[in-house]
Amino acid sequence: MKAKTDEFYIGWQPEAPADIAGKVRFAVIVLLLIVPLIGAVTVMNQSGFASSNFELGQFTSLEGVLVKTPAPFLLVFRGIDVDDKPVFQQILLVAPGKHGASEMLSAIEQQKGINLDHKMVRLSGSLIYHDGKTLLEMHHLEKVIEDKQAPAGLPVPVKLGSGALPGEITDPKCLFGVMKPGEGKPHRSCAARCIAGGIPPVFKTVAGDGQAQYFLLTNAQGHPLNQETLPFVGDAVWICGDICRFGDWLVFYKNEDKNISLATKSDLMNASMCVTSGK
Amino acid sequence: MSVNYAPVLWNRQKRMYDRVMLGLMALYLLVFSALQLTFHPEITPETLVIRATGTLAFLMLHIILCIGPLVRIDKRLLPLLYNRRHLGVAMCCVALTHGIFSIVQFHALGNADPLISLFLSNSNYGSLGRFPFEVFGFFALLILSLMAATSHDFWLKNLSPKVWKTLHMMVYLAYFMLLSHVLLGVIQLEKSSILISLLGFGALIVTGLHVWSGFLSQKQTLNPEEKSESRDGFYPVCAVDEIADNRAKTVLIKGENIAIFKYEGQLSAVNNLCRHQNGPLGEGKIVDGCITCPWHGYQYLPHNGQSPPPFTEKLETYDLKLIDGVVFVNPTPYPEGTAVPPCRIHQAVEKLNKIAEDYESQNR
Repeated sequence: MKAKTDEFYIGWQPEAPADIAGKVRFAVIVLLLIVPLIGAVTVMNQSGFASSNFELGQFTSLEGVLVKTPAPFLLVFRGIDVDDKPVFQQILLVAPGKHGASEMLSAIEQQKGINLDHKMVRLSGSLIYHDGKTLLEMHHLEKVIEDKQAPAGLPVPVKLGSGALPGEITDPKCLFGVMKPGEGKPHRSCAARCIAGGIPPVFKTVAGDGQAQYFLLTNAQGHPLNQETLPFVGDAVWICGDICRFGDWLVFYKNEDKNISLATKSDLMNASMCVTSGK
Repeated sequence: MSVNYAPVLWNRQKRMYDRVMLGLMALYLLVFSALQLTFHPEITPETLVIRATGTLAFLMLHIILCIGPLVRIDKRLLPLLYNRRHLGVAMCCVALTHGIFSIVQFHALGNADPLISLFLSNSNYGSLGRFPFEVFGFFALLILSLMAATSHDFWLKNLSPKVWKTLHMMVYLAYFMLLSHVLLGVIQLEKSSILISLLGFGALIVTGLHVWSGFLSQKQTLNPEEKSESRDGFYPVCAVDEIADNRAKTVLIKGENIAIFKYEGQLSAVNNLCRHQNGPLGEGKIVDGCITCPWHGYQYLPHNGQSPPPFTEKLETYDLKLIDGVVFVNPTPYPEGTAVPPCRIHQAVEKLNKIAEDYESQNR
C-alpha cells in the first residue's frame, strides 16, 4: 500500500516529512494507550498471591526442644491448655537457600561433638509463616541449654486414619512464604531443587470448601520422602497412606505398596471426598 | 551510512525514537508495578521484577514483530522500522533481566549448578503438559541475546547480510518458543481466560499482519516469467508509464529480485536487496540522484549499483530494453557495481514515434 503523497522518509535526515510524522505520532498515541492497558489487563486478571511471610534479614531467637524426626523441628513450649497439657508450637527447621536443616544440624553436631536430638537449644533465624504453619530458616545455633530439662509431654504421632488423597507435593519453605507463588507448574523446578536439597516435602490438599491441609510427607518408617517424590513435584497426584497428627502438624506416611500416581486438576478440588477410611 | 564503525551513529531521529521507546517502557513498568502493589500487595519484590520484565519483553517482541508487516502495509510507518534494532536490544535487556532473576530465584542456592538445575529439575520432557517450560525460555533468550549481540553493522558486514539476515530471522523461532514458555508455564497457574485470550490475540495479530503484508508484497512484485516468453533473454515487465518518476517496479524473474527505477527520463535496474540489511530497494526512492533504501537510507547510484564514495556497498545490475513502451529486463546479473548504460525513455519513445511515422507514410 502506498502513502497518499510521494513523501519519503530517510532516517538520517533531521526532519521526517509532515504526512509521515503525523502517522507516526498517531502510532505513538495508540501505543501510549495500548501499552499501559495491556499491563493493567495482565495484572487485573492474574491469580492473587498467598498472604504468607518470610522475614528476610530479620532474625528471631527461639528456645525449644530440637527433634530430628520425622523432620527437624523446634518444639517451642507455649503454655498449658485447659486440660493441663503442655502446648508446643512445632517449628519446622530449614537451612538457608534450597537446603534442609538436617545437614546443617549434622555439621553443628560434629563440630560440637554432641547429639542435638531432644536437646533444649536456642536457635536464631528468619521466620517463615502462613496458614497456621511456622518454619525457621536457621541462621545459627545460639546455645545448647544443658542445664534445662526438655519439658514433659512432647507431642507424639497419633494416627487419624488411612486413605488416598489428591494433592500437590511441594517444598514447605517456598510454600509458606519464601516464594509467591510457591506451588504449581511455574514453581515446580524450584520445589524440586529445594526437595533435592533436603527440605522435607509437604503434601498440600484442598477440600471442596477451599480449606487447605498440609501434610509432612514421609515413608512408612517416618523418614521424609525426598528422592521418591522428585518426579511428581508440582503435579496433581494421588498418594495412599496413613495420616497422623504430630502436634500441630499432620504427617502422611506413604503406603509402601502403592506408588504415587498422577491425578487430575478436578481431583484436587475434592480432596475431602477421597479419604477412604477413618481412624 | 557510515565508513567507520561507531557504537551508535546518533542523529535526531534516533534520539527521538529512543526517548519514545524508553518512555513507553517506563510507563509500562510503572503501571504494572503500581497496580500489582495496589491490588496484590502480597507480591514479593522478586516476583514483581520477574513478571514485570517478562510481560514487558514479550509485549515488546510483539511490537517488534508487527513493525515489519505494518510498514509494508503503510509506508508512512517507516520511522518505526528505522531504529528497530534499538528496540530489539532494549527488549533483550529486559528479557535478560527476567531470565537472570528467574534463574537466581528458582535455581540458585541449591545443591546443583543453576544452569544444570534449569534443565534437570523438571525432567518431564516426554509430556507436553508437564514439559519444563523454562527450557523454551532459555533457548529463546539465547537467540535474542545472539541477535542483540550481532545487531551492530560490524557484524552485518563481517557475517555477510545473508548470514546476518538468516540469524535474525530466528526471531520467529524465539517467538514460538516464548509462546510455548508462557503457555506451558505461568498460564498453567492462572484461572482467567482473559490472559490466554490476550496471548491468542497477540499471536493472531502477529500472524495476521504477516499474512496480509505478504499478500500485498506478492501483489506488488511482478512475476512475468509464467506469463511471457523471453526475447533474447529479455522478459517483459510492465509499461514504462506504470513506473512513477523516481520510483521503481519490483520484478522476480529466474530467482532474481530486481528493482527497475525510472529517473531523469531513463531506466536502470539493480538488485532489489539493499546490502545493509536486505531492505527492499524497490520500495525506496531516487533522492539526490541515488536509489535510497526505505529502511535505513543506504544509497546507490542507479546506473552502476555502487554507493557513492566514500561508501563501498555494491549491487548487481541488469540490462534493460524499452520496446513499444514496454520495459524488458534481462535477469542475468552483471557483477556487483558494473556500470550499465541507462535505458533512455525519450530516445526509445522518439524511435517508436519515428517507426510509427514511417509506417503511416508508407501506408498513405
